[in-house]
Amino acid sequence: MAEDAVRADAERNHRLIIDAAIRILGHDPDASIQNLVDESGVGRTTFYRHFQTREDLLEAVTAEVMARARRRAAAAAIVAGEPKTSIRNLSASLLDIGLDWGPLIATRDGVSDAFETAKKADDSPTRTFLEAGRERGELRTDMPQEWLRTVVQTVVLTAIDEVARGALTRPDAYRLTADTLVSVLLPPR
Amino acid sequence: MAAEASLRRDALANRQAVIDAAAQVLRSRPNATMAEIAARAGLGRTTVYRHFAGRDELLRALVAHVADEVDERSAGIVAREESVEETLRAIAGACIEVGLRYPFLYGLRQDAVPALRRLTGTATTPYLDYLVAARERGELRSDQPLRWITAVQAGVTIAMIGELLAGRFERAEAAGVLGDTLVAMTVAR
Repeated sequence: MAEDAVRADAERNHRLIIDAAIRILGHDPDASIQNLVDESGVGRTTFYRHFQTREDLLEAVTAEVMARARRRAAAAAIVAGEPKTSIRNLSASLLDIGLDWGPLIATRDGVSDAFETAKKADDSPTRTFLEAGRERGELRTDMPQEWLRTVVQTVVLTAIDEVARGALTRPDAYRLTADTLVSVLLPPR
Repeated sequence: MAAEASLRRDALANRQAVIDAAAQVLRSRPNATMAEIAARAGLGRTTVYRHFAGRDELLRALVAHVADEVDERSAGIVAREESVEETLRAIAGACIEVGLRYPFLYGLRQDAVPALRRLTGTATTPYLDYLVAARERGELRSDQPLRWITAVQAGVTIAMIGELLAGRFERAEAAGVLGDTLVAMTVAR
């Protein structure tokens, strides 16, 4: 019993630290460990018991961010009968990752196992989404699926780039990305 | 006076000779050195360095050269005054052709994009003039800024060149698929 309680405590602290890191690092990838400790509400000793180095923490945060994004994007794929809504959901979930996590992810490119695995995964949310939508006849099938996936990635990256340049506001980026993807992914008339 | 003018003509001819030589050498050897490029141009290294302080500067000039070539091709296509669908498909074909003749530029796409944006974005080009006019005729979607439309067009065009270079796409299909993609993104529906 006591052991269970200790484990539950440890899991709770682990989650508090990760959640705090996600809140802070999205906006400030260089935040100090002390900032993160303060935000999480756990003690410094507890913090270091869970994450010995900044690198350990960044890896756990990256894995968690990718997992959340994948869950959201995967959920978008299951709205059958509403292809426009599904495309908008997918578009928003991809932009969330890029806009909130762009700085952190960019610094982790090629460094993070979690990030690299997610990038190469065969069951990427976009691919799952395209496959399901095409099977239901809701998305275009006159182009290779992998090309459509490339188009989705390219449009999202363009939006992130335009926001970074100050050429687009975030709300405009969400609207334009979704509208463009709806135009490209629906079957041609 | 006459001597000065002829000196300037010589300098311009040398500069062009270096750019042409770089385009040829880098096609087969993307990591070629300035010395190899100078040898191909039939010029001394000192002369080459007088025109281009380093490899980066030379590559930037090459990117501008490619953008000029695309401008020239698109001016010819636009002058044919075909339907917007045919025009976009022809532009797609021309961009792929030019892109494949300078494959090493794909590796530099971070630098190449701003220059290629000229073709589609911030400066006046034959293609941009065409888009403005086509939009006034009601042939293009009017719910998005042209800057966004041209940015995603440039993005997917460069992405397609990348797919071709990686061998993930058949050359014969590429222009058609890219053309259809540009049409879907751009044309009113």
